[in-house]
Amino acid sequence: MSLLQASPGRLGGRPAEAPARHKPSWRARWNAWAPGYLLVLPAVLLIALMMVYPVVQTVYFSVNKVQLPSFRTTFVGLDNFARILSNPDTWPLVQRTLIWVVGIVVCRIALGLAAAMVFNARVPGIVWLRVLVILPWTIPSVVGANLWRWIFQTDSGVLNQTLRSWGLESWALNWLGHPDTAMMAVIIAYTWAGYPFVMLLILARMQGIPQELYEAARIDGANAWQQFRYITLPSLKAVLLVALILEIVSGLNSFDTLVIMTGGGPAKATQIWGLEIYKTAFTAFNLGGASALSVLMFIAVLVMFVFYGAANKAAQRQRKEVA
Amino acid sequence: MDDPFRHDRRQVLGGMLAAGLAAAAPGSLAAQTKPRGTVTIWVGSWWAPQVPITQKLWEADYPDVKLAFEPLPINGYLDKFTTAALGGTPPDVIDLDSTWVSTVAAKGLLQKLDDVAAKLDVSDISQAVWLAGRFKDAQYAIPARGGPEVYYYNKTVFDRAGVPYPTAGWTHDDLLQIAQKLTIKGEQYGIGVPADASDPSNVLSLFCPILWHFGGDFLTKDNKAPAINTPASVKAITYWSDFYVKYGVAPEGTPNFSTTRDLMPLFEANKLGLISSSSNTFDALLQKPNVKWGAVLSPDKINRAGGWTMGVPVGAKNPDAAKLFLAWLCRPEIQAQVMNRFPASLKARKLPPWNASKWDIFVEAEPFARSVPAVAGWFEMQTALITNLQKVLVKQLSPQQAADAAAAEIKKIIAENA
Repeated sequence: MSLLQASPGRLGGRPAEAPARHKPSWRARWNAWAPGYLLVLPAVLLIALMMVYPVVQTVYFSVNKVQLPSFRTTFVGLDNFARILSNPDTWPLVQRTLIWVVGIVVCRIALGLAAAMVFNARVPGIVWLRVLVILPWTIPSVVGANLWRWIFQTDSGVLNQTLRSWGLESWALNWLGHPDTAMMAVIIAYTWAGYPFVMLLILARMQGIPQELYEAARIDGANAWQQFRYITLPSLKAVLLVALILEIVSGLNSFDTLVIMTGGGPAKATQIWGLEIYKTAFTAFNLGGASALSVLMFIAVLVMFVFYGAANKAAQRQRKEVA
Repeated sequence: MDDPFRHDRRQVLGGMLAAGLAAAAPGSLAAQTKPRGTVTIWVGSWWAPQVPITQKLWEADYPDVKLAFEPLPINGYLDKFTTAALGGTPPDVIDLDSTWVSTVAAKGLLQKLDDVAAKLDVSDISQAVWLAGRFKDAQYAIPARGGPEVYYYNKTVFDRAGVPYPTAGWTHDDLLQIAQKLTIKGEQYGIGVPADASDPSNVLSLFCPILWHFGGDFLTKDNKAPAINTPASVKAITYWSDFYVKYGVAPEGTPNFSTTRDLMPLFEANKLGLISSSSNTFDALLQKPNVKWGAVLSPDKINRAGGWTMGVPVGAKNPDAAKLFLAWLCRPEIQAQVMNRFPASLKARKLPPWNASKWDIFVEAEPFARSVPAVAGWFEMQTALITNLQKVLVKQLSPQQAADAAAAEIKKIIAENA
């Protein structure tokens, strides 16, 4: 019997003539599904190995002291976590990470939405303009970060030179050299590099919104704001949620822009959780501590997405009830 | 495990060669062990122009072994190496700043090179950089580049401010006064103060001599406790940070500036009067005919012993050929031709092009050079110190507070590495 014949209705074969009134036995169901499972098993194993092994390894390291270069471990229980939580630098680190993530998520989504609305216009040459605006996203992050580093140079940077030439001397700040402005400067650079992706996501969805909805709204006397508020925004809800998740993950994982522009400085002003993990692992060579930091971040992200999932389900239920 | 060098020694003792031919040993060794394959070598970006000549000279001696150089930028250089080493894909040879060796060796990422060292004429190698390659009585790295730190001055900046050029014998008081006279806010600054933790060696190039001049130090003499918060050390931190905080003679953006990436472009653009650096900068400036510059011994002569040393990482795929390369590079006639920075070999310095009078300044500076402590966890210690120094520059902490915070962190690092 071929595999295809053995997997009725699942792999393209004809549906089995199963008894309609009786629930199929465990054996019958196994016979029906087993070939399919067998076919996908190698891929599932590979993916599980790739996803699960590093997580397990990280959790294991987090409760151990790891000796280099042999990676020999000594169990220390929750000592690595206790050190992190009792470190006076941890709370400021959390604050900076939150500021960074919220900053880049808000800026990228706001700018992406605004750009999508502008480039959704149907005017001649708009395709070329769209290509142009996507360029920052295509530039390697190392190049982009160095570019912004030069722009923000205090004495000779383009930004301050321009501000000074306009007579705005007091606006020409020490962007990357002062803790109060360094985070903002890096957020701007990171937003610039990533907003075209958000724009593309939103633009793709916007072009799928039926024009009839807007025509009907206009006939009903809706102004531009009302059209945006009651047609565009609700239609974009799903894609905005996707963008939100992707940008949160991107923010937490961000590394190269921060390293190149500030290295986490000055005075740790731009050192976020991900950078701390890297420095703990590869500057302090403390793999146990770095793993504990990673586990804490993993838990925080997990909790956040559990809340997000619950909120999303509640919203769907509410929509169904309204409908 | 068979040690190729021990095997070689037996043959030497067997009567093939006379004892005392240490300098010639690399060549004879190669002939007997027939090394093959490729040696991957990670070096700083300044090596790039020297790669073809190095490969050419090497191939003439060892045609069966290929040298694959990978020149890397200095920012994040050590991070790249440690990431690769811990990931199990290190190069066969890693070029290390002399201040990094103890940290990397303490973590077990470098192989001992006592077998290579035994074959070398150590008296021919600059002692400061040779000792920097030692950790716990074992040799972990072989120096190729020596060179104390000197000060470079930009003649255009000096001329514009009408200030005479500094001369040997100047003091730290003179340095401050000159930096103040040179500074025309927004146009040009007196001195470059590197403070970026991603390029710590250059931060120390300026900071160390100041620290030592004022009688301070990083650790106590037995290396068992921090000394960075003693009154003398705090005085040094105050002097160093006042360039930026009090007198404004260092450029805006200083807390985030590194020498190569930020200060050199300002120096070359005639916006910066003085920088402290090694022979690295000497060669870089020779390539810039439009920049009018000079070099002078450090104020009060005291300086940090710079230098780069080459190690063989644990996990190197071709360690025997790598060791052969290190021994080959120590030959004075090879080092003289291959290096584009001040060589570590004293004999190489007497060969062209290093015997030209322009290089004399490094020979004069060397007796006054000191090294940072070669202790486990040094890299962490200097990161802790630089982070706290940055806090002084951005006025988050006073020099005393920063010194105390750094001392507390250093104490913890010492305990963890004990």
